[in-house]
Amino acid sequence: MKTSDLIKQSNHNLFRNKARTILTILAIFIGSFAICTTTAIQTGVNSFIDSQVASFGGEGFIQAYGKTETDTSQAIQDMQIGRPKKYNDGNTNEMGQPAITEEQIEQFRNIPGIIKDTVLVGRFGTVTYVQSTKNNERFTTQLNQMTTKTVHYDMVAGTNIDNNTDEYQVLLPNDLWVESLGYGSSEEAIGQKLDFVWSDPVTAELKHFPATIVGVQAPSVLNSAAVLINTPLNDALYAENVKYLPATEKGKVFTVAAEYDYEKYSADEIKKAISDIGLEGMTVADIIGQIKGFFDAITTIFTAFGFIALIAASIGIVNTLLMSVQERTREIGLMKTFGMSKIKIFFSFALEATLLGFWGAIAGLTVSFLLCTGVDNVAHTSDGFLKAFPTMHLAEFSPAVFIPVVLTIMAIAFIAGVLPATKASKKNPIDALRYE
Amino acid sequence: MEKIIEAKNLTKIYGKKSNKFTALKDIDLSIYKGESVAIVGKSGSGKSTLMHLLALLDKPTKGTVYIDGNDASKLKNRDLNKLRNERFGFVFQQFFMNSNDTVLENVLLPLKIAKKGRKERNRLAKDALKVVDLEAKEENKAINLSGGQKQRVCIARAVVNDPQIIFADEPTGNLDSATGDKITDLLFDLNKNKGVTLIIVTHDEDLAKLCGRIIRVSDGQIISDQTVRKDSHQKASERLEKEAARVKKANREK
Ligand SMILES: Nc1ncnc2c1ncn2[C@@H]1O[C@H](COP(=O)(O)OP(=O)(O)OP(=O)(O)O)[C@@H](O)[C@H]1O
Ligand SMILES: [Mg+2]
Repeated sequence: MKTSDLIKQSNHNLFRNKARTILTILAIFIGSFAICTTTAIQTGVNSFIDSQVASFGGEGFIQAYGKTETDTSQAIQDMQIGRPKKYNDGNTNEMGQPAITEEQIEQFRNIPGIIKDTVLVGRFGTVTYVQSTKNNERFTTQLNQMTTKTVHYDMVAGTNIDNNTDEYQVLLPNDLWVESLGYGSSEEAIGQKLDFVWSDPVTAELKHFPATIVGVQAPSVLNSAAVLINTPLNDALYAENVKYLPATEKGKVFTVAAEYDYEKYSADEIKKAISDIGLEGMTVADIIGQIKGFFDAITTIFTAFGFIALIAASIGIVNTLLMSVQERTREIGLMKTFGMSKIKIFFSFALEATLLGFWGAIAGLTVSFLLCTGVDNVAHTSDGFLKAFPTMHLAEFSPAVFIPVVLTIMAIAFIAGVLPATKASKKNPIDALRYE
Repeated sequence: MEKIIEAKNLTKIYGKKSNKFTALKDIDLSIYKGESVAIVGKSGSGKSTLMHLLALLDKPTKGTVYIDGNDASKLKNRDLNKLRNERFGFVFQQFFMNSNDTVLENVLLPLKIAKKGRKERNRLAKDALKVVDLEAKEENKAINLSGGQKQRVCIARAVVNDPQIIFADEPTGNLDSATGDKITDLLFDLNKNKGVTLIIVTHDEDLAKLCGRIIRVSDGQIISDQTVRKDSHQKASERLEKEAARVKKANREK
């Protein structure tokens, strides 16, 4: 029998006992649906994170902390359950990370590959409030600093901050800031001043640090909603912040960051060098890895459920095919009588199983696709839960993902079909024909 | 003459232990190329069993079947399938059809297995159906046919692959005499003009007498094996022609 005839016949046979076939397909469908949906969400989330990372750049960005005695996840857990922390003369932060010494900062600066003029020392300035020069509204905010060589934010308008200038500069985190500061559009805000105000805790005098708004960021999962300021502004604020502190408390640093020459040095080389001076390095990739790891863990669980559903479905396939073989033993007898080979008979049943798998998988994929697209559309409407992330798609159906899924399901179905197929192909023609 | 099938010491025992039943006992038999052989005997005497063994559809409990002088039990699967597909034609007593398929589908099954293209197999199957007068029923489901029509479909299916040996179990059992004669004509025409070897199981003595050789089976044993003399064979075919003329006349008068 020709292969094309074989496929046609198997497909035709499937629809003989429609009820049973449909029930089996339904079982496979559930497994396929679960797996397709979870992998699509996984792909969607990952590709969103990837696109965010790509727009963020930061290939050469590295951050360093003091090495902790306890591991970080233990520290986070302790923090969550509220375990009291030992006081250590103010020499560890809330994560249990020890302060970085001046000597270590100097060593960090001198690590081969670290670009010296990008080094940011973790002395973070704070403000009492910021005030719009347009509508005079006041806001509280955290302040962030960032290196600027390879790190570039996704911008709605304007440019990135410059750390190597005397001018005070600020980057707004999103459109809400533009609106709240009283500007009609992001473009309008560019070049305007935002006043950073520090209230002296002793004299109550207000110190003003007007900074130029150089740009507005697109919303992203990687930036917190904090405004981003350049080094001169930060240093000026910090100097005010610590004015009254004793010299021993002034310089306490828990993190340093810099960019390294990523074309010449690998992340591991730099991390090794950082480790040698008693610190721990973390690249953008590591930070992203943590975020991804979290999503991966969740979707892996869903995928596992999908596979359990599939295993249940394969039992259904075996059952369907066993019954189908019994029903069609006479037909098998005829096929053997007229010289069809065992192998072909075997294949016609295995193929039937694979087709069951195929249709079930396709049905699961289609429904999963329609459902995810529908939910995604709803999520992006004006009050949907993804409205803040217009570029994020809940689920992404790329052929690179669903083709392997469909093939895997077909393979499982094939294996499930082998048992009855073997049984069918072993019959003696006349025994098969006489079968009632 | 060339031996096409030879059976030695064929024994077939059905069932196990207390249910044991010996359907065939130590049968020795040779069938030559181009022969027409009738296997006759009472119901339950083992005719069908013998035919199935000779046609390699079943395995004997003891003994050997030789095809073209080769031990059939030692044939490679490929060769066995080729033999069944290309050289054998079967008509079963119980018909055996895929009842939910169309008549045409049933007839072209051997051709489909032989990897013939769609056009060719449709053409050949339609030709075969024409010969048995069923071209009008080709799109009907096999299950909806009358007994005689089913039998004719099976005959069409048996001849569609242009076989060298036709095994026919009661090929006219369900047919009225006119239709039966038509089928008989078809089979003997293949025998005479194409040299097809016929092995016909029947309890119709008239049909048996048309054959060149009559093997009588009783209780699983051959009790007589007579070759009909040439002249009587001649006579038989004359009688066949006369009979055909009579049928035609009768049809015309209808
Ligand atoms: N599969 C089987 N299992 C057990 N006994 C069987 C089987 N097939 C046939 N027999 C027995 O073997 C004997 C011969 O059967 P077979 O079908 O060869 O008879 P037959 O001569 O063709 O009869 P009929 O003219 O009625 O068709 C019968 O007694 C039958 O009951
Ligand atoms: Mg019989």
